Amino acid sequence: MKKLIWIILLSIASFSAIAEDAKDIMRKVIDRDDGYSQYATQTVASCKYVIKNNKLVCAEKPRVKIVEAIQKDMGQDNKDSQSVMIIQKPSAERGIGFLQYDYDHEGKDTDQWMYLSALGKVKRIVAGNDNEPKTGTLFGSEFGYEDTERRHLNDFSYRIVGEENYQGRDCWIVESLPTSRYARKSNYSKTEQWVDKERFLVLKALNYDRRGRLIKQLNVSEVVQQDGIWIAKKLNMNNVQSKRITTMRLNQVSLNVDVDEEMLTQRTLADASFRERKLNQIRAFEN
Amino acid sequence: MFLIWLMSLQPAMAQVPVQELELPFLDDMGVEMDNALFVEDSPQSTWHDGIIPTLAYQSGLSLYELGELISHRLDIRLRAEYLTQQAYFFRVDGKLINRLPGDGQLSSNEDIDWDGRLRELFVQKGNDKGTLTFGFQNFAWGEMDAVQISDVIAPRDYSEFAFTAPEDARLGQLLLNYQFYNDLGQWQLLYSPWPQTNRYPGGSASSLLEFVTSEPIDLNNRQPRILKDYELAMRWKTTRTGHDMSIMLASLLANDPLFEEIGTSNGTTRYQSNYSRFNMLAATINMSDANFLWKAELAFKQDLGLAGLSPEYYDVLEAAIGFDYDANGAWSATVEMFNQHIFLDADDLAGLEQNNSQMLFRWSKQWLNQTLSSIYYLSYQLQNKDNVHSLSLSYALSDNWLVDLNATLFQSSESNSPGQLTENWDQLTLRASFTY
Repeated sequence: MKKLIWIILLSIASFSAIAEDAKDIMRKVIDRDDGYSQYATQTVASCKYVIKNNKLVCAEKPRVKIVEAIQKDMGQDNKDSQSVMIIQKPSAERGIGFLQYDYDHEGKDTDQWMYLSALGKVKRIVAGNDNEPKTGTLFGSEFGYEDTERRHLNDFSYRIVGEENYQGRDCWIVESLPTSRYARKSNYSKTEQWVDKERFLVLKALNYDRRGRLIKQLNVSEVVQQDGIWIAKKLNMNNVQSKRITTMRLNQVSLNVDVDEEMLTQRTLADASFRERKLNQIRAFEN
Repeated sequence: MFLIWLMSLQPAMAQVPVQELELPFLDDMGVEMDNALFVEDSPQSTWHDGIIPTLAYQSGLSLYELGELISHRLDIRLRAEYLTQQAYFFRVDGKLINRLPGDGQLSSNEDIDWDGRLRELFVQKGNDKGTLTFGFQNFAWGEMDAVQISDVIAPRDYSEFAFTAPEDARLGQLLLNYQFYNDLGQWQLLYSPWPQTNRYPGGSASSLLEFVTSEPIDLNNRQPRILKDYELAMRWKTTRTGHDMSIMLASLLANDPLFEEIGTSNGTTRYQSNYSRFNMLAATINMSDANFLWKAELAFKQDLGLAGLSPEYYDVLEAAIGFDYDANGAWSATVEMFNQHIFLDADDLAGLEQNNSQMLFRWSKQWLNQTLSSIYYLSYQLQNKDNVHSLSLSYALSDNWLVDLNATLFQSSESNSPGQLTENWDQLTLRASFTY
């Protein structure tokens, strides 16, 4: 897991501003205020689908994961990030946890640990090679690791390819092409994003595979404002090639919560009483 | 009417890009994709969230004598945890096994039997500085996944020998466990007033000896005594960018018994078993580098009891190096190499090899959106060339149902190697489980 789920949920938010060109627009999308810390519970549900009466319908019982996650900005200029995520459901995976330290510094690998509740062991896991495309996905969903990573502005060139009213909002359609350096490790050859002109939210995105064929469509809904920050509470990622869809739903979220740094250590993974006691304090704050 | 309706559609259709016409699932075509998956707004917590029962059925067939039933059983596992208002945390994790007719571990006069396993039963209380835990704990030290060097605190369940699932392999160790944290790292102090030991088929050490000797025996089995046969251990661990390391110091009882022949009685050989004490100084380190996680363990064990022609106590050095490799999510592999070196002249080793070396290899790949996983595992002993191959497929039919299929093959070529004992154990095992 390269980044925790809320990064994609929150990365579409930004303060309103006047855009001058495509790169400016995307800078405002990326450099948003998403709070210095977050607590969230999220549901990730995936299924293979068919079309019935012009509606997408699951063709199988969806696979559902519910996770509880905490993230805090750290380091110089709060550019680094530490996060922990614990699986609550399905029951068979309850207690499995992930701890991750992300660094803004280029070339500095992510630190990741996994707690295997069945083995009672915290294990450092391989971060992966940043120079090759990552093929894994978040819990087997349609959100690939690349979809969940925070984008760096200079990894792409941008072009406004159109304007459209989408979901009742005036949007720019911004095309992003990876630089030759980034293209080596990207699963996508091109991305088109529908950016809300007023809120600088990405409301829709089309991702094209390395052969130039459309592969995934992201749709965002249930956009709310919390503590002055725009949050999309629901994301649908539709893989039009495999005909599989994932809905990611933010059930509860608290921004700028007081997170004890000790919570973002291996202790939270393995020390259940510490974790539950601390989480109860945050859950009470959230309620 | 139809023509008018068709004409009214034309301008709208003309605006749809060709690319999207080929993909009629996009919302621009009016398909409602937003509600394909119903996701609860806010799942409510219930009182039974912390209680997880798993019901499983297992059947194992011999691949050596084709079709012969080896295992045939049901088991129910219950995991439960609860945090009180006063911040006491309780956890229990145990399993009840019901062996059915035909199961190889049933004695000749039984149709069925019941057996139990306890992995965890503890109470925990902590504050910001540290946490105190008392009870039976599922406890793991070290960096290696398969090799056991420093990971010797918790006893193992060998009642199924190589066929025990990894999550069932450790048994609870009775521990008073205090962990605390300061600027230097994590500290852990352990005291076991009544050390638990490895479990064998039939549940006792005598069945292990009967298995090894293949003859009737009379065993005086001396189990660890409460308070008198204690264990003490401590660990310091630190986490840094890109690597973790730890140092451990311990005075432990061996988890395996040593058998000593003490005479004969009515034609039956009499033995005395003993869980001997040894001291351990160990260190571990891991380092992450792109696709690789490098890992190493080193341990000096003083007075470690080893069974050759007779039980003897040796100073040994155990070392392991290895790595995990992840092909950026496509597949992963693990290699671990282990060596145990006895500090004594080879001529004085009473039937033991001075070096005991082993290599372990594991390859895994996930398929079908991580619902199907495949694992190949190889264990190879360098001195006597005993080896074990295992291939497992695990498919999650749903979030609740899991089906596992495992084939394990044993190979042993040297007549006096330990692998001769398990050479005929080739087995195909099917296991289906439902977790509520």
